[in-house]
Parts: sequence; C-alpha cells; structure tokens
Amino acid sequence: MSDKNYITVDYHLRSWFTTHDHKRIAILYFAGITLFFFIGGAAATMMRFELVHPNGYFVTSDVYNRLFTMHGVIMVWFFLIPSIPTTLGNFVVPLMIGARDLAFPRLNLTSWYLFMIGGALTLYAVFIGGIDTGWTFYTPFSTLYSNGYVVIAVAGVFVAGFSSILTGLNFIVTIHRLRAPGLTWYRLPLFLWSLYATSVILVLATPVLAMTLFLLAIERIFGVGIFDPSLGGDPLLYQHLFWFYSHPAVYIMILPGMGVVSELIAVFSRKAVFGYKFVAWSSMAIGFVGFLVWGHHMFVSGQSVFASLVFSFMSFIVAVPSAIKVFNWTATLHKGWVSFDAPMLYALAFIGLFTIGGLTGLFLACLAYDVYVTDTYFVVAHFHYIMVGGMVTAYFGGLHYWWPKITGRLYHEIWARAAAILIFCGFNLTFFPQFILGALGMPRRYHVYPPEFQVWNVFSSAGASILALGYLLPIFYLGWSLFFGRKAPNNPWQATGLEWQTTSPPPPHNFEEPVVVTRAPYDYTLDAEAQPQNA
Amino acid sequence: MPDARPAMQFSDLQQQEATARLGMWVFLATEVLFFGGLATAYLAYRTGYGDAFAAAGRRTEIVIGTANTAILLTSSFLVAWALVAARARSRDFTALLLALAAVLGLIFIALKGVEYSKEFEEHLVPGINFAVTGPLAGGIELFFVLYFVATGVHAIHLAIGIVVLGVMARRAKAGEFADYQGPLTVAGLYWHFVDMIWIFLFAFIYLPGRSGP
Amino acid sequence: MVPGRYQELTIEALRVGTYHLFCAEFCGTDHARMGGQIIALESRDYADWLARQPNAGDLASQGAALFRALGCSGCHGIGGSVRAPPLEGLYGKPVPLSDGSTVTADDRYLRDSILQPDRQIVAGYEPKMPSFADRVSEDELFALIAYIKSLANRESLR
Repeated sequence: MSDKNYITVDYHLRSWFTTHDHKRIAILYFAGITLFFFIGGAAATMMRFELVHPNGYFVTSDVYNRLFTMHGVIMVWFFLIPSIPTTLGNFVVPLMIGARDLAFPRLNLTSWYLFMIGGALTLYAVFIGGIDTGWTFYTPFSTLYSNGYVVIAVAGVFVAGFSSILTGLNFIVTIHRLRAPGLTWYRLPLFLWSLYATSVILVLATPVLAMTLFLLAIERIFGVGIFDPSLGGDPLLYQHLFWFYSHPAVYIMILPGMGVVSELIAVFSRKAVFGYKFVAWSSMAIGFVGFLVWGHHMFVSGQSVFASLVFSFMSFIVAVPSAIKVFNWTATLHKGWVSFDAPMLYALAFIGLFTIGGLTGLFLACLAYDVYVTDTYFVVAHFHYIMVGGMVTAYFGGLHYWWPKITGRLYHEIWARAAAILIFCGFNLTFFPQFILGALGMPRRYHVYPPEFQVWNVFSSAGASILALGYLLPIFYLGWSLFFGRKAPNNPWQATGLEWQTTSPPPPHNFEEPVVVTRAPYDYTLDAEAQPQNA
Repeated sequence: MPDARPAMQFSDLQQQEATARLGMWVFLATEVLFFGGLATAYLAYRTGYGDAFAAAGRRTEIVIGTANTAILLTSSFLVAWALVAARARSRDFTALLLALAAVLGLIFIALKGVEYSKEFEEHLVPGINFAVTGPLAGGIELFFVLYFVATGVHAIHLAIGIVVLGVMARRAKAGEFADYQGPLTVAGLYWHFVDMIWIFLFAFIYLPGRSGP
Repeated sequence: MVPGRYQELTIEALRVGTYHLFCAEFCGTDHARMGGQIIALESRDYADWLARQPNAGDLASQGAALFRALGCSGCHGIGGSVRAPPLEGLYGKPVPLSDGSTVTADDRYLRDSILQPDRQIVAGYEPKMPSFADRVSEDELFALIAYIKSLANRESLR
C-alpha cells in the first residue's frame, strides 16, 4: 500500500502534461482558467476605468470596442463555461461516485489540450490587434465590415468548443456507467445532477455554435453571402443559430454553481437538502426548457410578435425550476445548525445575488419592459448578477470547500471570510448602479455617454476596484496555504460525500478499497455523527 | 495474442464496452446537432428561395451522387458484416471486409473530387468563380455555398472514418477482436452515422427540382 | 438595422421635451457616438418650426433635375422609347411584381429599384432598367426619392 498521493506520485513536469489522472487534469484546467479570469478581468478593469469619464478620455472608440469584446469572449468561453465543470467537476466527479477515474481519461487530457490551443488562438487574435464585434459576433458587421481578426478569434472559440463537448460527454457517460455499487440515481449528490444537466446542454448546444461560427468564417473568408442581405442572406438566421446555442450556454454558466450551492448548504446547515428530488429534477428542467427560450434575445430584431410572445412565455416558465431551488435551499437552512465558514458565506451570497439576477430576468422576459431596456445597462447588470454574483461566487465557494481535499492543506479562515465579504460588497457596488443606469436609458457598449449618467458610472467603477481587490486576495492566502498551511484531515467539514472518505489529497486511484454505497447523501442529524454514504 | 483486459477504471470488459458504446452514441448526438445547424440554414433558405433551390438542384451531378450513395450503403453493409465475422472469430475475413469498406470510402472521395472539378469548370463555386446570372442567381449561389460546406464537412468526417477503418482492419488481422469487439462496434457506429448523414445530404442536394415534369 | 437599408419607425410622444436618440445595437467604431436628439413639440409649436424651415420643395426640385440629367425620363417620362412603369401616383401605392407578390412603393422600394433594379420586377414589364448604384450618391438618392414622392398625387399621363 503506497503512501503517495496523486501529487507526490511523480514530480516530473512531463508526468503532468501526459497524465491521465482526472485530478491532475483538473489542476491543469485550474491553471488555464485562472489565467483567463485575470486577463478578462484586466479588460473589465480598463473598461471601468474608462467609464469614469463621460467623454472617452483614456481610450479611443476602437480600443474600447476591442476591450469589451475581449472581456466577453474570454470570460464566457475561456472562464465561465469551463470553470466549475473542468476544475471542481473533473476533480470531484469520480470521487463522488466512487470510481477510480472518469470513463475516458485520455479524452479528458485531449479536452484540456484543445482548451489551451483554443485559448492560445484567441489570445493571439487579441495580441495582434483584437476584435471589435462584441462577443456575439453579429452579422453583417462581423462578416463584412469589421476590420478585426475575426476568423482567428472565432477559430479559437471553435476549438475550445470541442473541449466543452468532450468534457460533457465524459461526465454523462461516467455518471451513467461508473457509479459504485449501491449508488442509485436518487443517492447521487446534487452536484452530480446539476453537472449531468450541464453536460447534456454542453453536448447538444455547443455543436450548433460550432456550425454557426464555421459558416461565419466561410462568409468572411470567401466573401459569400450566407448571412449578407445584399446577396439574399439573412442576418436573423445568424442570430437564431447563435442564440440557439448561447441561451443554453448561460445555463451551462449557472447550473454547476447551483450544484455547488446544494452541497454547501447541506454541509454547513448539517441538514439534508429539502426536497432532494425537486432540486434534482429542477436541474433537468432548466436544461430542457433552456433550449426553448432563445428568442428572448431577439425581441427587437424584427422577428414576428407571435414568436416573441411564445419566447416570452417560455422565459417565464424557465424561471420556475430556479425558483424551486431557491425555496428549497432556504427551507434547508430553516432549523439547520448553520455555521458561517467561508464556503458558506459564498453559498449564502449566491442565494441572494442569484435571486436578484433571476427576478430581473423576469423583467426582461416581459416583452414590453424588455423593449424599453434592451441593450442597456439593465441587461448588463442582470447577467452579471447571475454570472458573477451567482456562478463566480459559487465557484469560489466550491474552491474553498474542496481546497483541503485537492491540496491537502487548510487555508487561513479569517482571510477567506474577509475576501468573501469584500467580494460581496464590491460586487453590489459595481453592479447595482448598473440597473439604475439601464432603467435611465444608458445603452451598453458605450464608452461615451451623456453627463447625467456619470454619477452612477463612478459608483460602479469604485465598486469594481473593491471587487478586484476581493478577487486578488485568494491568490495570496490560498497560495500561502500550499506551502505553510496546516495539513488537512480526510474530512475537515465532517461531510457525508464519498470524496471525504478518502485521504486529503487522494491517492492516485482515489480509493484504497472498492466503494460500496449504502445510504442517501446528506445523512446529517443534529444529535449524532454524520453518516457517510458508504458507511 | 494478448488477453483483453479492461482499463483501470472499469471492473470488467462488459462495463468497458457498454461505456464505450454510450460514449459513441453521445458523440453521434453532438454530430446530429452539428449537421442540424447546417440543415436549419438549408431549410430556411429553401423555404425562402424555392425556385432557385430547384434550379440549383437540377445542376448537381446526380449520376455521381447516386453512385456515391450506393457506394456508402454498400460499405456500411460490409462494416456490419465485419462485426458479425469478428464475433465468429474469422480474423482474416473481418480484416478483408473492413479494408474493402475503407476502399469504397476512398472511391467516394475520388468521385467527389471529380464532381467538384466539374462544378469548378461550370463556374458554380461561390467565392471562387461563381458565374450564374439572372433573377435566381442569389438563391442558386446560397444553395452552392451550403452544398460545398455540407459535402466538404461530410468528406472530412468520412476521411476520418476511412483512417479508423484502416486501423481497425489492421487490428482485426492481428487477432485483437477475437474475444472483445468493443472498438469495432464503436467504429461501426461512427461509420454508419457518416453514411446516414450522406443519405440526408443526397435528398437535400440532388433531388430538389428533379421530381415531376 | 443593416447598412444599405431604410427602416421606418413610428413613435407617439406622450410628453413635450427633448429626448436622447441612441443607437442601441452595436454597429461599429462610433456606436457610442451614433445618435442625436428627438424633440417633441405641441402641434402649434411644430407648425411654427416647420414654417421656419427652408422650403422642402427644394429637395424635390433637385431631384427633378437629377431625374432628367441621369436619363430617367428617357424611359419613365412621356414619349419614352422603352416601356417603363409610370412614376406618377406611384408613391405609397401597392405594386404587383412579376413573381405574383405585391409590395408597397415606399422609400425602401424606390431606393432598391434605383440601386438593384433586377431584384423586384413590376408585373408585365421587362427587366431592362440598368442599375444606378455607381452613379448616384446617398444625397442624390434622397433628392430623387423626394421628387418621386412629390408625384404621388399626380395622375399618370399615360
């Protein structure tokens, strides 16, 4: 019986770049997405700096257009979509189901290489001059008029898309086929239900993006008119194809976060999640209905009012499963034994911020109001509340929660709580004024604006500086913990999941003994020891 | 001939094969959505430009298209037969069937090349030398853009399939599929899928404008 | 909105005042600078403002001059050698096309007919009109369209 864990089993650099171990691949992904997070964040910092002044003081229009495009492209495809699935998911999924690895380990490594190659291509496009089309690449601007490096950037996203597809494929097959004996579907932790739903969206939606970007590149390279109206093409066809992928994509960018929150709420209230089956199936419902609402991005595009009506109605429906989750998490907290460790602070922040983001989504689903605030800062605030206030917050919560398992070290709790609070305050100061700006009429993608909007922009930029500080802090205390942190026990949180029933960090093949599952998850009671799933 | 053993993450070969098959089916689902995006574009424009698409359809090389369809259907039949032969432990015959299927695939690609060069000579290649004029020209050009994209992407998938079949033929000859046919099953699924996509392409490309008087 | 296309939008101002006009859909380098103002006035104040504007008829008479200079009257005028659809009484009316459909002769139709005459052929006519895409500027197009608009209430003389 070896006493080496997955990190110490081989110290050569080459062993990391040729590994088949899902835990090492998760670390490789973590390095990649952290890099992209800070690049995308740098773009945002420059944008908020520019927006302090109403007259376009520091950058030209062309530079600003490239900044917000880069921010969107990098944050969406190279940070948010991979974030939880490829880092926390890759690490935790086989552990949580009692398996020794994912179904297709070599495919997993391939997906990382595809991700990095796609990222390199896109960064190259940014480096040699950038793109100014917005992350949505609307035609005919992107195909006929933009003088940015559209084809290279789009090629980078295309390649990264295959990375997403392979990750999703791996998770679906793993959850179906590699569950430990005794682990029925209704004994799966809710994190796995949400990753399963995410994976279904990943494999079904991303190929449509691939084809759409391919057609866009063909049009731009060969000068043929697929979407060009003067040659008989239809720019709205581009929008339909693009949003058919991109709306489900936003559910890829929230479902894993919801899964993490379910785990955190249960552990830090010492209580089973209320309404387990409802929460599980709500993930599937969000995934399914999410494919039926894409037209709500096109209410003012000229599509028929009847189509807009149907999409508006479906957009109201899709809010219901999310609301079910929020109610059930709140019910879990009720009469639980709640502790306020850093991961829990993030989980609680998620519930509040996601609710605000979700409710404002209902404003946008309402056709009449959407027409009024379309393409204004109201929309920007809405999706940042969900993506940053929701998903990024959940990502940080999960990162802190599983950090002892992944690294074998404990971080400094006071600094972690301070960072969480700083992030929460900075976030709200940054984005709440943007709801006001949008309602007052300030359009998005503007760096020059009428002076009456300045005061809210200044608040927002001030908040952004606090938020940036909050996001930088973990580099220091998490980094410090790697070298000087106390060694973590197997189960620092006294949690019931299978991943906590092995060492911190785990051995290369995850479990020394084969796992047999005998219980439902979250078997916490207030007056007795928590019962792990394989007890 | 080595004993087939399951990979580390599987408890037995049966679980490994079931996993591989589910993986391939999920992958094929992604391919359906990939070609589906293209089909959506095609159907949207065919609805809007019915006459132009009919006129364009009449200018496709139906003889080559039909021959290619027959070739792919035959190759799929050979691949299915190869799986039966592998289970019956007929090492050489399995390899022969797979090699023949791969050769048929190569013939398909060659005929496609002939077809493309004909279209080039007739000035039907958008963005390169498209020279159709008249009121239906816009729609005809759209048709041919979608034609080249669809058949080009299909040909890339087919080429990958030919390489896979070649590798499978070599492994069959080495006797690797005597006890465990997992890889062959999965390769067969992929090949049949590429064939099925072609059947849809045949209907979308070669048949418009050709029915009726 | 797409380059090279006209769109018409009707809004009803509920209150007098000056309002920002913003471009809402990202359109290029100067997206943030594409805009202006919409000024809503009471009807009487609007009538006063209109009376103080330079005569709108000027644009139409410029258009008339262009109409002759570019040779349009050669086919569309009286005694034209080629049979072309009459333009008097055309603006705002439905036009039957050769493919069986009908369009309204609005600004967009007139602009498209001058720049891409092959795309929509009036029923019963030959597709003989040449394109003027490389012979007229945007300003000249406005003038020509204003001229044709001014013929809206005239009877066709043929």
